[in-house]
Amino acid sequence: MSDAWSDRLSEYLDGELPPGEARELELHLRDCAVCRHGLTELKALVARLAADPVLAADQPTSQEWQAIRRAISAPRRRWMIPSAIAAALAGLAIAGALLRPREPLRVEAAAVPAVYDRATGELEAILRDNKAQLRPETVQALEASLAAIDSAISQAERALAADPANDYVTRSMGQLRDARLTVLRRAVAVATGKEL
Amino acid sequence: MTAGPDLADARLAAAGDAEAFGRLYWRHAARVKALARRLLGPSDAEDGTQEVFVRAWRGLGKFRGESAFGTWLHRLAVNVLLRELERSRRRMTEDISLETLAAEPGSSGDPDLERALAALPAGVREVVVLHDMESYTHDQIGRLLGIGQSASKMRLHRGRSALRGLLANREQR
Repeated sequence: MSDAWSDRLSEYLDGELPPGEARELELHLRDCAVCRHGLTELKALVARLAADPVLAADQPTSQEWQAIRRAISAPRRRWMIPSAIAAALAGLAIAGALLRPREPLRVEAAAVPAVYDRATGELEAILRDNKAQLRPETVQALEASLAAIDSAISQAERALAADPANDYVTRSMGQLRDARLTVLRRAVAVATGKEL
Repeated sequence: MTAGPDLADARLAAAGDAEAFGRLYWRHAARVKALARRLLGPSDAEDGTQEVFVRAWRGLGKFRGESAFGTWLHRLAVNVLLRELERSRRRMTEDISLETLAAEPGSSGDPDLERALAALPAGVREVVVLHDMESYTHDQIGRLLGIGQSASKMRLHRGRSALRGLLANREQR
């Protein structure tokens, strides 16, 4: 059960209550077992947070260092990729606004190329058959989004061909495929009235 | 951590010596990874740490040795990881439930606390981590997040209250 003071315990613990209110709360604590218990729990929580140690799992590994070593040794041209991704995702945002999603953006892993190819192929076919149901400005935004994402995917493919072990580009490729699938799925949902 | 070898290695690394940067990495990575685990969660801690060190390598020219290297790196890490957190939130569905998080790999630390932290709303988790785990002041947090001190305090109190509830629920199961 809470009372007027139960939401002020954290402020009291940090010494942020004005002196008058702090005195009132101290008087209240004498009589209120719930607030006394709350304060004890709060103190334990703050101590637990402060005591969270550096864990064995936090220790660096040779594998992680090698990944960083590769990233800092790679030619700077690979940083062309983030700008392409940014452009692609900006396009995605524009298409998203025009397509008026009823649900928040849902991103799923599209890490397996064969699964990704099949999913996009199916969605593109449905979209071709139902394109007439979309408003012209929606089609325009959709095409601009897909073009931006496709351009970023092409850049990522070239970067991966030159440096297949580049973790950053590999992750970016997955994000771009996710983004492409999300755009297609949303467009299909608008065109057909069915969520896939 | 002694400033001497850090400063010397930072200068060598700024001149392009990757071996010197490696020595800095081995001395400081655990603390950065712990911060990344707290802010991003265990499954993204490794990627977040990598991003911090890549940015550190590129930004070493700005390190003048006025503060300890560890302090400079920690500040940079907080900035990079907060941006990563924001980015990952945009990528993810906002609706994260404790049940979903229960399926995430733990880090062998305090898994209940990690899951409860991960379930805090956007904007609250970072304030709790920075204030109660990394000892930042509300003034520093306010400047980092672009909010006022009173907003930072409010988020901290909300976050602690939510954590109490989440941990109590888990412990009752």
